[in-house]
This record gives sequence, structure tokens and C-alpha cells, in this order.
Amino acid sequence: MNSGNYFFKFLVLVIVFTAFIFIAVFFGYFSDLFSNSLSEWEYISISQIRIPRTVAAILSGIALSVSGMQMQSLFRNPLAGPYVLGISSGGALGVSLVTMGLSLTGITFSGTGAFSGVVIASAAGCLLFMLIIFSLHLKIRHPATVLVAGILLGSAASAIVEILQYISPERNVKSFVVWTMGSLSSVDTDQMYVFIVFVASGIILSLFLNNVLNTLRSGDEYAHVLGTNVKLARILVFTSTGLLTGSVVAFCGPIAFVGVAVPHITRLIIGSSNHRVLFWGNILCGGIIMLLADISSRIMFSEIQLPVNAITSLIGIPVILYLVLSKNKISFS
Amino acid sequence: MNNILKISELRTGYDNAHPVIKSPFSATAEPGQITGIIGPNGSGKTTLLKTLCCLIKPLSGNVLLGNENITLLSPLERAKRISYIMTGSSVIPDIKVSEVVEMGRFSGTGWIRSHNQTDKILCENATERTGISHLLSKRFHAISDGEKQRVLFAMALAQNTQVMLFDEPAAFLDIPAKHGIYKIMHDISRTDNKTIIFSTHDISNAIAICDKLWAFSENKIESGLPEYLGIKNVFSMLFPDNILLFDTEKMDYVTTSISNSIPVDIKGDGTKYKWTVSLLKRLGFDPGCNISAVLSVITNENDDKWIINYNSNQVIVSSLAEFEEKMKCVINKQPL
Amino acid sequence: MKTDNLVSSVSLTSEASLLKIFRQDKIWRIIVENPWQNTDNTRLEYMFSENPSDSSCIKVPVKKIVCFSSSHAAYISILGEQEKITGISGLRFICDSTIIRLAAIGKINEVGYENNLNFDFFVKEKPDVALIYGVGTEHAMYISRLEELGIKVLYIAEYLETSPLGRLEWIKLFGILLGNYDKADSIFNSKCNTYKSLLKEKTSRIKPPLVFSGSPIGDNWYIPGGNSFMANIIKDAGGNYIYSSDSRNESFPLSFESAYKELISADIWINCDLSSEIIYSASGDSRFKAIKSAKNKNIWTNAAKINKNGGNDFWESAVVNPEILLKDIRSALFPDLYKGYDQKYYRKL
Repeated sequence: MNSGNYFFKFLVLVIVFTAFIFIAVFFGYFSDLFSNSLSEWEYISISQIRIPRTVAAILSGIALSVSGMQMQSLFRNPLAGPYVLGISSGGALGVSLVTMGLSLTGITFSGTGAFSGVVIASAAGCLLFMLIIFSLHLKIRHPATVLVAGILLGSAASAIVEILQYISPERNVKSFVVWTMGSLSSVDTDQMYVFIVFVASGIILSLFLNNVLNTLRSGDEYAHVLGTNVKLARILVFTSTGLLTGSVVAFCGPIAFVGVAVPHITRLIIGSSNHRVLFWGNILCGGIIMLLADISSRIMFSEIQLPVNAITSLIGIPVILYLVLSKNKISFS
Repeated sequence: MNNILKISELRTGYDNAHPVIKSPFSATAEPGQITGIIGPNGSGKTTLLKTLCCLIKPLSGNVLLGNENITLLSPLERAKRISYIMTGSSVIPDIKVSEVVEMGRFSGTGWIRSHNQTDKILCENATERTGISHLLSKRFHAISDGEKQRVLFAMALAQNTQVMLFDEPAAFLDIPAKHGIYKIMHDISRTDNKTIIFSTHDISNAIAICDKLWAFSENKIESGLPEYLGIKNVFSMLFPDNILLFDTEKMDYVTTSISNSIPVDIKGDGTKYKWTVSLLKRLGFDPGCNISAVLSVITNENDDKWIINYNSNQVIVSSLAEFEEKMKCVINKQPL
Repeated sequence: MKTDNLVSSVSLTSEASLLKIFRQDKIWRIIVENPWQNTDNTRLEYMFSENPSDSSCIKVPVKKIVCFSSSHAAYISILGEQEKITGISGLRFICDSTIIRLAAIGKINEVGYENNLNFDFFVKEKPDVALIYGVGTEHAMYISRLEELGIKVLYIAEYLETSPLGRLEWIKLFGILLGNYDKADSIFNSKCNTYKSLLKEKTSRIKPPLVFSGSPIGDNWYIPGGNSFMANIIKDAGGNYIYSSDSRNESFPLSFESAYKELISADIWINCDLSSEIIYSASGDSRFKAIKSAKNKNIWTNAAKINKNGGNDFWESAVVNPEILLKDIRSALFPDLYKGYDQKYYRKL
């Protein structure tokens, strides 16, 4: 059909993606790179700081975009995103308990290397909330109920977090607040490998879900008569989203807007609604957007890094506004 | 190949306390046959269709397709044998028409595979058979209702199943579109030997194209040849309250005559005569009378005149509009 | 107050730059300058007297004090007057054993944090004075509330002093409050002398180690400015502070990469914040394995002495023990200098 068209578009995306990786890793060192004289510091900076950051940016971009695509299709809601299942609230609750709650009882919790306290707490919180939503879903089949449950859980978590913020000393509150701004720098080389494993598992699972997502576009009844086992499909989609989103929240904090905006950007660029094609498009676009956010946060002010969420909001909000205002771009009924 | 759809002692509904189909229903549908489901709203037509594709589980009884119990199949296996198109098209997202048709191939590709040559060929064939090739790159909701219905037909065709179920496929369609749909159904059943089952409110067309009818009334379901059901006077008893009568001339329902219709004796033949009779009926006259001393009308196929005799007065008019005016005077008991 | 009436128009303070003490007979006049950040022309005047003539003058010695910072409590503790404290903000983080004992029997209460103050306590207890510190803005809401309730509020700006001895000198203000200026003065003088004699000890034979100080919060590190308290004490200890050429006197943010660049070549990394371990786990974060100070196992936290609730004595008593702090840091920088010396505030990670 239009496979030539797709080829060209994907080629451009791959080129842009590669270019951004190059910039993210070698920014500021180009002259030395081309004259083949990287200093020792530059080498250390690249291997110890920039590569983990870049990998974190790419992984979170991929994970959030693909799970955002899944949630938007499953719930047939263009404003859905990876956090509708309450995953980020669970992570926030876990982290707040560790950074603020534990300080109230006097325990300091660290952990080492890949399994630092915050990562574990966040992952545990995400997992807990995911399980709650899952079991609710198994009892109540209507997807809208799951959305509502996610919202309620999120509110409950926020309430607890607020209480903790209120009664905790400033230093701990600041620690927590900074976590909520998202950070690509908190991933070190050990964590990077664990992060890669989790996202890879989520992505591999997602590969098998694109066909059923296509059938689910028309609702549960059509999906069923076209041959989809709807209940199983939902469980697997939730699992995949949980893996992808939960790992991003655990390692980078709750990065905002990427999961909601990028699937729409991808759909606009690619022009198809076929998940088999959108899947790869989202991987590339998600990576590109997060790399762009990473690069922007570093080059705007040379000495200070801006928090990731600020940049993703600046990119994501106009996209969503544009969508809401031009209804013909949304391909959901 | 035993591909017969066999329904045995089926009772079904949304829950046990309120079954929609209460008395056990048994019937068969064979390859190459078109079966029509008719009856009033709420009588269970959609419920039956949904049960036949397992969107609803039977309360008792079973459905076999070629000796396989369909409820025991996995959704994927079932989708290879039975397809179903629902009424309306609003749940279909606004994606490209080509992508709608391609959705029908899910039962072929399964969860993992992408479209191969076979899938592509089936989609192309379905597109040609339904005549929507020129619509493929358009968005689904940018085309007309008739075109949408044909696209959904193409999707079901691409699914390549033995049994094809349609819930009111011709609803909301204009007459040419409606007949287009019926023609496609006819083609599919005869050429591809598929088993077609559809529900409709359009009784006269159902009688014309169905090999078999399942007539749903409040208490039971009658099945058989349309003519057989006609002879048994099933159609008249389908809708209670006696507001409707089935007219075997028109092969359709008519409202029972309004009382106090004025008898008129009309003579003539040809199309002009028939349309004049229709006008008189609509105005409230009863043209069935052969002798009326008070009022008579004579028309002639070859000229433009109507001769009206009323109360021993004769008036000749030369247009239908004048004729209507005069007849209204008769109703109002005014002189012509 | 007219300046010409004062007997001593020379301030009794020598090291503290933000505090001036004037005395006329029985009246003490205190001037606190720029007690919050982002200002350079604010002066607050307080007057204390044993027989105050009007309500603007605070009667001393005070009997009931509320402290909003643990450092305030430290000044009181070293003067031995813990019993005059009636409330502390952040009570559970206090390390002083007398205060802990008094708290356990209910004599000292937690008053809450600034957005969550227990105003009922203030109404019931009617403390003579509340010692607060300003941050950034002029008048936080809770301060207005306290003043409305008739509580006398006193800004303590010791944490803005950049010189260690300057910080110590604020003890004199506490001496006035508690009615024992002479004791405060003598403690100050004695510690001052110890500090100054420590300074004289030659360390210049040994090459000054490159010192990095600071911890990350999120993507950015917070580094003490070149003119800050920490920078000054590092300089006094004989270390070569990496950012000594900077002119700021407070902490400034720096991107991870820029900070890392300096951190790599530092001989010693001090003030690695324990709470940042939660996020970065410096000993375990693989990026820190490559740096010199990690390889030499020369990373120090200032949280050697913490109480069971996580309260760090560094933020409490270090302010009145600058000579100990100096020796701690110097012994960390030059391990062979003071054999057998056990650091009080610093601990190797």
C-alpha cells in the first residue's frame, strides 16, 4: 500500500534518533572527537555520566510511549496515558514513605548500586498499585471502572503523601519533591543494566499485543467476534504497561506528559492506526523526544540542569492542547 | 463436509432470571442458505445473534457447527468459523477504510503474525466483492452510511468464515444502498456457499430474498419457508394489538383501515388507475366498493381526465391536483 | 535609640559580622544585620534589660525560650541553661542529652514546623521569646501570627555568618538572654584562642589536598560557595577548596556533570550528605567508583554523631565547637597530623 511512504518516514526517524544520541553523548566534545583527542576527563564523563543518562532517556522514552499507546487504545481514550492505572501514584507513595516517612521513625534506608532504596520503594509501590488494579479488574470487567479505580487510588496516595510532606522536616520534603520532578541522572551504570532488562521484557511482551490492540480499537464486542480473548488481552496489556511504566517510575521518577503526547505525535507523523506500525514509530519518537528533553535540560543553562519534567511539560502540553482543539486529528470515535 | 449450523433447545438471555428466548428454540441453517430473523423489537433477535457468536452464553441447550460446540471453542477458533456485524457503525474508530477491512484478518494472523500473501488476497477479494476499492484510503467516518455498511461487509468477508451473522445490516440505509447490501448477501451465499443469517425489520424484502425465516413473536419462534409462514398467517400474528394487517398483495404490513371511510366506486386500469386508488385511500376513501350510488370515479389510462360523479352531479377534471381538491370537497361535504 | 547616649559605641563583637552588641549600663542593644537572604540593608534592633522601661525592651534573663533551630539549642546547652527551653522545633532531632532527658519528662515540647506550628502551645506557655531564623523572604506568615499572639520574636542569623568564629560569637547574645554574658564571653574567648592557635600550626609543609564538598539533590549538586562557612573552615584547616575562587557566600547549584568533573580529581570528598545516600548511595553508585576519593576511601560524611531519630549533631553543636570542627576537618585532610584523634563530627564512609 503505502509501504514506500512508511519506509521513508521511518528512515527519517531513525536518522534523527541516531543524531540525537550522538549529540546527547558527545555534546561539547565534538571538536575533540573529530580530532581523535578525547581527554581523560571527557572519556570518563562520557562513559560514567553521559551514557547512563542517554540510555535512561531512551529507555524512558520508549517505555512511556509504548505503554501510553497501549493505554490509549485499550481505554479508547486519547487523553489516557501510562499512569492511568495509578502506577505513578504507587511509586510516589513508596518513595515518600522512604524519604519522609522513614525519617519520622529514625530509620535511614540506603541500599547500594542497582538496588537503591528509592528504586526499590518506588518499584514496590508501583507493583502494589498494579496488583490492586488488576484484581479489581478481574472482578469488574468494565474498563471505565478500572480508570476510576486508578484515579481513586491515586488520590488516596496523594493524601498520604501530603500528610507526610506536612509533618516532615524540610530536607526530606525537598528530597521527595525533587524526586517528583523526574531525573535522568540518578541512573548509574549498574542500574542501567537492570533498567534495560525490565524495559526489554516489557517491549518484547508488547510485540505480541499489537494485533489484539488493533481489534480492540472497535470495542470489546468486535474484538471478541474478530477472535480476541479480551480478558487475556487486557491482563497482558496491563502487565506490559506495568513493567514498562513501573520501571521508568522506579529509576527516573514520574516523567510527565511523554506517555500521553508521543503516541499522538507518532500517529500524526506515521499516518496509520495499525499498532504494528505505530509500535516502532512510538519507540523512535519516544526516544527522540526524551533525548531532546535531555539535551535541552543541559544546554539551556550551562551550569545548572533543568528538571526533566519541566521540559517534557513544555513539549507535551502544546501537543495535547493542539489535539484537544483540533478534533479531527483524534481518530477515536 | 458437515457445515450445518444446528441450534438445539436453545434458551438464552442476559441472566437466568430474565431469559430473552424462553421456550427452547431449535433450528438449522445450511451452507448456501440465507436465513432472516424477523419480529418486534425486544423479542430476542439480537440476543440470538449474539448467542450464535458467543457474546452471550446460552442458558440451556447448545449450538453446534458441524458437530463442534461453539461455546467450547477458543475465541480465535470461533472467529475462523463465525463472523458477526452489529447494527450501526459508531464503535468503529475513524481509521482508514483499508485498516477496517484488514481487521477482519485477525483470526487468520493470530496474535503474532503480520499479514501474509493469503491475507492480502482475501482482503482484496472482499474489497472487490463489496465494491469499495475506491474508498480504501478514505477515513471510515468520512463516507456515507451505505458505504460504511459495505466496508463492514468487506471486513466480515475478509474474515472468511462459513457462517456470517448480520444484525439489521440494512437499517438506516437508503433504498439503493439497501438493495446493494441484499445483493451482496445473495451473491455471497450462492457463490461462496456461505451460511448467512441476518435480522431485519424489512419484512417484504426478507420474504423476497430469504430461503428461510425465523419469526420471533412474544412467546415462540416459528421457523420455515417464508411462504409457509405466510400461509400459516404467522406474519399477521407477529405484532399484537391488531393495528397491523399483513397484506398479501403488497407482501407487507398495512395499517387497518380507518373507520368512517367513504365508499367510492372507481373504474379504470393501468398505472394511472393504481395511483388514483392510492390517493383515494390516503384521503380516507374506501375504493373497494364496487357499487356506490353516491360517488364514482372513472379514469382512463390514455387521457388526462378524471370523471367524478357525486350525488348525481358530474365533474370532469384534467389534473391530479384538481382531482384531489374535488375529493377534499366531498370529504367536507361541500358541493364540487 | 540615639547613638550619642551609648557608653560603648564600639560593638562588643569582633568576629561576627551580622551581630553588633552595645551596652549602656543595664541596657543591651543588639543589632542583627541582614538576617535573611537576598537583602543587604536590613537592620533589626533588639533591646534587653533587667528592668525594661517599655514593652519594646525584652526583660532578661528570660525564663522560657522557644528555639526554632537546633543550633539555637546548642548555644543554650553549652551555657548549661537547657532548663530555660520550653519548646523546640524539630525536638526529636536534638542530640544534647540534657534536652533529651528534659523532653522525656515533658519539660520541653515539640512546637512543629513553620507551616504546622502548634499555636496552642504558644498561647498556653507564653514563652518570653521565640528564636527564629529567616529564609529568603522577609516575614513568613507564622512569624506574624506569633507576633499577633504577643510573643517576642528574635531573629538569630548565625547560620549566615561565613566565619566559624563569627558563628561562635553569637553565644554572647545568648549570654545576654540568659543573664550570663560573662560566661558566654569567656567561653568565646577560650575557644577563640584554641582556634587561633590551631591556625598557627604549620600545615603548609604538606601539600594542601584538593577538597570537594557537596551533595546532589536530583540532577544538581549543591556546592558551598567560595566565601561560605564551609569554604572558610576548609581553608583554615589547610585544605585547597576546589571552588575557593568563587565569591558566593552560600551554596549554589551545579549540574551533575560540572560537579562530577571537579569531584573526580579531588583528593578528599567531605560533606557527603547521608540523606543523599538514599538517592545516590555514594558508596554503591557505580559512577562514584571511578573517582579518586572513592578509590582512596576518602569520602567523609558530617553525620558521625546522629541520634536515634536521625538528627545530626553537626547541625547542632558544631556551631559552638568551631575548634573541634577545625581539628576534625584538618585531621581528615592530613591523617598523619593528629595521631589517635577521633573525629567528633566527621566519619569516613
